[in-house]
Amino acid sequence: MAESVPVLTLITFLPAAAGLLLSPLKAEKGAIVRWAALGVSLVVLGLSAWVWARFDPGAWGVQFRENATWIPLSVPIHYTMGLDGISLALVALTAFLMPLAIRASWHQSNGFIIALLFLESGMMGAFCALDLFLFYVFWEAMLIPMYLLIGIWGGPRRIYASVKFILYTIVGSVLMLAAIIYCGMQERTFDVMDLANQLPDSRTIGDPGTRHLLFLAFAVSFAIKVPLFPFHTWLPDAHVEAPTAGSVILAGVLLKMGTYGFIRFAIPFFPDAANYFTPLIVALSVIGIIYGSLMAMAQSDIKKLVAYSSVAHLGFCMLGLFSGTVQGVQGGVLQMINHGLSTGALFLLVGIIYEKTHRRGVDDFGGMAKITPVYAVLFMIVTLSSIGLPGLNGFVGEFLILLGSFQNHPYATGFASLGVVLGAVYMLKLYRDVFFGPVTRPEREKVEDVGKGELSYLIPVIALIFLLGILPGLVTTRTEKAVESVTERYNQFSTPRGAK
Amino acid sequence: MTIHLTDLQAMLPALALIVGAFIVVAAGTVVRPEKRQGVSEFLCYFSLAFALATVFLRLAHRGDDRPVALEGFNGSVRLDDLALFMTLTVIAATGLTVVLSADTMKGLESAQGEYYGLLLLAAAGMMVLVEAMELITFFIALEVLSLALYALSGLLRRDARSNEAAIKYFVMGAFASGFVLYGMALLYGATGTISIPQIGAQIAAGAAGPKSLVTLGFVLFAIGLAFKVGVVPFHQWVPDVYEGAPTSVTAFMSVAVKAAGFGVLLRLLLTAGRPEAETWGTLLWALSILTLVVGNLLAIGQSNVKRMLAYSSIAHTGYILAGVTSLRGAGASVAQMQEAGAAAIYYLFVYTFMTLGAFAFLIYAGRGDKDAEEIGDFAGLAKRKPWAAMAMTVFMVSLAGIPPTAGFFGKFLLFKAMVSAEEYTLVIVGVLSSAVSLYYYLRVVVYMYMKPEGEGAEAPRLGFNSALVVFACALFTLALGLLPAKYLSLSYQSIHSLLR
Repeated sequence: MAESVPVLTLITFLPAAAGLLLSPLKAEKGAIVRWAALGVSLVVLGLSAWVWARFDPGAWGVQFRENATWIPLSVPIHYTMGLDGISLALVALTAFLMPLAIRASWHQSNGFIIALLFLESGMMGAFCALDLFLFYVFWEAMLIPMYLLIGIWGGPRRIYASVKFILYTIVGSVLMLAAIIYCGMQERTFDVMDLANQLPDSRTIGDPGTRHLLFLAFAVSFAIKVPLFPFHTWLPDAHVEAPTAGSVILAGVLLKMGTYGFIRFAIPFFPDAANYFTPLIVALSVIGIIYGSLMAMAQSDIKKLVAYSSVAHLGFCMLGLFSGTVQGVQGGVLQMINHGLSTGALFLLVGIIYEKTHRRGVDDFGGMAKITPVYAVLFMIVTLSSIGLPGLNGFVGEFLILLGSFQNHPYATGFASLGVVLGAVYMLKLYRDVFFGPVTRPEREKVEDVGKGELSYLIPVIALIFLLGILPGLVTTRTEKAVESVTERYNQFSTPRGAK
Repeated sequence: MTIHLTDLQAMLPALALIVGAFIVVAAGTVVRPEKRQGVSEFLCYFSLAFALATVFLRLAHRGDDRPVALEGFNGSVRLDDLALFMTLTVIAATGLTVVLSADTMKGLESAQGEYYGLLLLAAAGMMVLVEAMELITFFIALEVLSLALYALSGLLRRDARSNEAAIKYFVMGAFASGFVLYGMALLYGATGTISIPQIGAQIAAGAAGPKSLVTLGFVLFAIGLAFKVGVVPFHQWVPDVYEGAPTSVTAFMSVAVKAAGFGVLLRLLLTAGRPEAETWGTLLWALSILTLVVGNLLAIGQSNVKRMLAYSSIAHTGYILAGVTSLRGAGASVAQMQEAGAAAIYYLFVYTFMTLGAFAFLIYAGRGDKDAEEIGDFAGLAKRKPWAAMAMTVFMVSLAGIPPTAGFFGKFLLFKAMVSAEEYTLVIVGVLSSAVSLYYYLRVVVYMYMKPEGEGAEAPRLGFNSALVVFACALFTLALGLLPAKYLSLSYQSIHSLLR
């Protein structure tokens, strides 16, 4: 598929270029910066929609491929970009969330908006890169804007949270860097697709023991990002301290980098090692689901509650990805998108109420349904989507995950389904405490309901929540081929399971 | 002995600086004090430009398979690709230091003539050092650069710390020279020649004296050099001298001495030392691990940024040394050796810009007549000077080895060389210590961006020349990370010229 326009390059570098151009503008020109940033992010959304439409769901492999030599070393480094169904879905998610995040940061300073633009470039690049070196560059480069977003514009403990965030991620990343270099030197290529398609017999990297180590090096880095229990401790801190847009992007896209890393690199590169470590990862995912849900139940800070719910939701994703069945992996991918939408929306909503009241404790509210009815309805929809109500987006993914993983991990799936119940418990409890009952704080009486400005970024996400709930096929048809090939690769190396 | 034109040509860059140095000192005695600085600067620029022109001319002369090795003075100096590349690095460092000095030397009119003269002499010493092909020339060059640097570090005559720095540096340096001289004597005793290639030939042919003599000679030699570049455990002088010396001198020392020291180390190891790889290999391996760990750990505790940069400079010596260590493999192919050597000298080149930039920022952000040294001096700088703060962030991020900066690419090359040589312990220690280093580099960013400026703090100086250096270095740091191909091929050729 020869494309004359390097559309992925445009998608990746337009935001950064805009950020660079806008950065000399003074604070008084804030309006220009905001509108220009919004415009650029909408252009990127448009380009992504074009890619989405032109994407051929029936074709195997990578589409929209771009390739050029970047650094001629003994093992040359290429600038290779391309999309398969999974990266397409994530690019679309990123492109969709970005304008919302910018719209939700309308009151922020220029630097904030520019950091968001650079962040978008980093994320897009990481999803599109098909050269390991290039991927690593984007993967780490996007940490800096996120670090600044949390550290400069975050809450009271922002410095602690931002440093913790970046150090956790870096420690994982450098081990991955060592593994990347090793793979590249062994196979004499950094091309992701070449590495992912080594033959099972001759051309595999190293001996089984080495592959286990390499898998772990990649897996730890991604597990920190996901975050998989017990690597999750940076997440609640980062989420609580991050400004609204930061939380939205962090939960919506950055966590997906971890799961994407598993499905794009760790599993296809080392399918045998992935099989070997499956019991461990499944166990950690289930612990994450239960633990995240229980922790969420115990929180009195709404943002922290949502943060812990992310730990649980991402646990479902991981369970799906390591289920070894097409349904399970498909569910995992869908859950990645759905979690991005639902949790992104939740953080947007929490951000709104925090802007108005500067409070976000569960106890600080009560009976808000009477005061802000529209807000309450929107919050209800998102809550139900997060719980996984049929007809909304969350349901399909969770269902597919449980269905798929039950075939290979029946007990783990049994425990995981407890998480579904617990999820309903903490979300509905949160909803009851905040919106129902009598108005506990008279000073909240004067809180205004959501206005046009806020609706402008809430309506699109709610619309998409409904759309994907009714027509999940929009995503799954496009991800199908990619999911099938990764599942097939995983199962090529699966140890025969006993009659279960 | 008659002196031929080629003899002079082989030393032309160094000669230009030596002549320049004498004219600068002489001019200092006749020119009126208020004009002294301008004249000295002009003379420095002139001689540096002349040296630079000769380097580029030689580089332009070179065909693809026709390396320019100009031998002079009966083979005691050799201007080959390695010497050219290191000369280029030294010129870059000296030139930037001269630009920088206009801001620091304002208050020291009496010292101006000597200052610039000594700077040029030190640079000339370094150039001869990387060209030296026999031990006596080597030693003279080493002493020329050392003596000039002792004097430079004691330049602030009324500052106790500067005096302490000079004395400490002198005593330690003399001690180190003793080691080098002793090593030289043993090598001469064992082989009966002072020519470096012939020493190698003698050892390889088995015609050298007792093996213990040769081994001891190399070890003492290596220890002497280790003192000069600040390898743990011979590093104790580094923090005190770096802190006490005028900041522009510190900047110059930290980059140029390292470039010259490692340049000569590479020449020695790849020519004379090749048959003795086992011995020095083990020594360097242990020293590099020690340097990496100790340098990084001690840097964490520093609240004085100048001191932190001193420890960081030690840590970076560790990375380069680890790269050099990967030359030790007995079965290393030419390609592997080229990779390791090229990685080391590419890193030296890159390191020059990021470190000089960081030190220049200390001068730029200085308040009153003091440079910014305490971490508190950095508070709130991002508000005051967003672009300069951004540049400093680039340096810190690059020193920590995060893409898309040159520091990352340099480290990538070093780790790649280590992986090729199967030095996995070095890789793991290297990547982990690089993750740790992010912590102390980020602290500067935290203060610049996330802490408010102290009450009643004096306004920073924001000198024009230091700003120039800061931005030029930031530009190079980014450019060498994104488009490294040109200088990379130069560094490959430099090592290639040694291996034939």
